[in-house]
Amino acid sequence: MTHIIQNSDLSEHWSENASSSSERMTISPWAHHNRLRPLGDKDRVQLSYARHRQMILDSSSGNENIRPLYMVRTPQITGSLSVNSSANLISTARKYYSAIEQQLNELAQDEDEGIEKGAVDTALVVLNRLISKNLAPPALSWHGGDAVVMIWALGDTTYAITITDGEIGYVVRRKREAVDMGDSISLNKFILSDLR
Amino acid sequence: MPVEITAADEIARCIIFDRAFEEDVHVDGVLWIFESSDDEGIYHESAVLRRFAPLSEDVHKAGCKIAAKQNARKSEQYAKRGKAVPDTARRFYCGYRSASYASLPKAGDGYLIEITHSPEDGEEAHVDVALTVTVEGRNARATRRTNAGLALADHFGRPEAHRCPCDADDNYHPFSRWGEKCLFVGLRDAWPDLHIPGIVQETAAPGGDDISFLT
Repeated sequence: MTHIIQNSDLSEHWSENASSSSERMTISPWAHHNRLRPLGDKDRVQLSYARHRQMILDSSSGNENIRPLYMVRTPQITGSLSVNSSANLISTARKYYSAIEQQLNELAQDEDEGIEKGAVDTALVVLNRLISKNLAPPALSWHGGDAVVMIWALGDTTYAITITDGEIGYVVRRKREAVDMGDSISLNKFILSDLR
Repeated sequence: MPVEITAADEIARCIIFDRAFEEDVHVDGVLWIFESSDDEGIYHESAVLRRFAPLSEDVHKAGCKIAAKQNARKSEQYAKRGKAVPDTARRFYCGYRSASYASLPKAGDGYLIEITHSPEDGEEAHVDVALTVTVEGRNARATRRTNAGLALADHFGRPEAHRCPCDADDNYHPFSRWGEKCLFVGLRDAWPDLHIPGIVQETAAPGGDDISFLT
């Protein structure tokens, strides 16, 4: 079985200059690993896009125009579905966000791979915005001592935001091409999920 | 003696744990990370020229040496602080991925990539992958580094897994901890044949029509 998602171009949500798209996209199920959180077998999680969307719907109010941005890793489902699965998803997403937050805090103090504090502080602000908008947790990377990278990979499309001290850049790659890119956007002008 | 790399050449990128891993899986997004620059502001990463390493074994030997070198450097750094390298922080060579030189991006918006044969430390097949960012501004430059790494990774094929004999009994090797599948399950091309037990009968999310499941 293959999951196909329509109308879910994340780039729409990433900046005031974003373009729209109604392309169909596919989802990678393993894009949310982060470096510090060890995963045992019992933590193995599987994709449930519908559940992620339900999570978003459940946690919102009114008739907002909500589009699911990305999957979360959900608890292993071996039998019938739990009627309370959306609550489980929220819990799982919160755990991931907590792990990422801890990872960022440790990154600023890491003697091997220290990233400057300003970049980490800015990344924490972005992370809190992701949380407040119920977006799925990103994978985390970093480079150059001054940049934190948050990555979401959706099939043939990769979304990456690069965060430095007080500024944010983003790139959307599809079919081996950068289809959208921006940089040096100040933190207070960077808009996530503005369609909400 | 350095040679000119041609369109017929193939380049291999070694997969070193934990640099090319997101926790417990190798992912495309961290195959190429341009970490540090030289005095001229050019970022350098290494690869292997298959012309001088035609057999998989040849690349594996090069990869094993890279991991050993990085571990030695780490040991020195930790020793200065009176510490030993934690087992979980040790580097392990896990295999490589190949790409056609002709297919690799040599330039993009705000950056140039120069790939040259550059034998070093007795490694005849060593290739220098040099990234020059041509825009100014901290975030603009960092964003190009991210994009250049992703652009390169887009062109590398599936991993050729390998466990070095020197790591055979090491319980901290990623293959011991998570199995050889850790090289593959995080790749984007791993998903199309994915079967998801437990949600087979699900049709669409309540209240919306923008999700469909195809069988």
